[in-house]
Amino acid sequence: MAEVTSSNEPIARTAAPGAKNVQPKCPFKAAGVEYIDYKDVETLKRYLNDQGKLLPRRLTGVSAKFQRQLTTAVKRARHVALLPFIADNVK
Amino acid sequence: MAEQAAAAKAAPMYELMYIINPVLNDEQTRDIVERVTKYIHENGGDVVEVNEMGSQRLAYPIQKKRNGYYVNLWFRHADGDFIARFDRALRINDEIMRHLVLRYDAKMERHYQQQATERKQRAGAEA
Repeated sequence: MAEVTSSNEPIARTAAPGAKNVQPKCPFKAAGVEYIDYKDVETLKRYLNDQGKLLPRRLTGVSAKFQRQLTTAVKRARHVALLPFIADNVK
Repeated sequence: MAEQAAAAKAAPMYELMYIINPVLNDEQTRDIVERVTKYIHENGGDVVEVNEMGSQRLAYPIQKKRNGYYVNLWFRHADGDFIARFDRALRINDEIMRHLVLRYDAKMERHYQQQATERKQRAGAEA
């Protein structure tokens, strides 16, 4: 019953050899989000580094449209002290 | 009259979040919440929902305080000039440490409706 993997099966490769990664889908598009809420701190925190700075799109895969929304949401959250301007993790 | 009602419905929705000085006691805090709600009412606004998030730790100190009493409020108002006056009134009040007023567009309003029904369901489940 053991399945034999045939040798002439195409190798699953979506990117050119040597390419680092397949372009991941924007997490907000995937989740069907329409508006990024500044009150949703848990979501926003995922796109910040441990200093509290916004991560670049190239690392998170967020689309340009949602990155723009994300920045305004983070700025609003910072204004009402839901997020820090600078996180003092280093002590 | 019917036209007026329709116009009131079409008035844009706004969201307000403000932080009250944590030094105040419960009664004073309640008084401010009531005063803000009344102010909107008296100036021709329509308060849709008030969500008191309660005392929370601030992400950074404001006026040397580490906590704040958060209040989230949604209202409709037909006159945009009111917002400028309202914003100024909030700024002048010393007991309100921070505030944020947003005008909602269609997307934000849909998002709000979703969140509001979820909040109601949660409240219903707890009760």
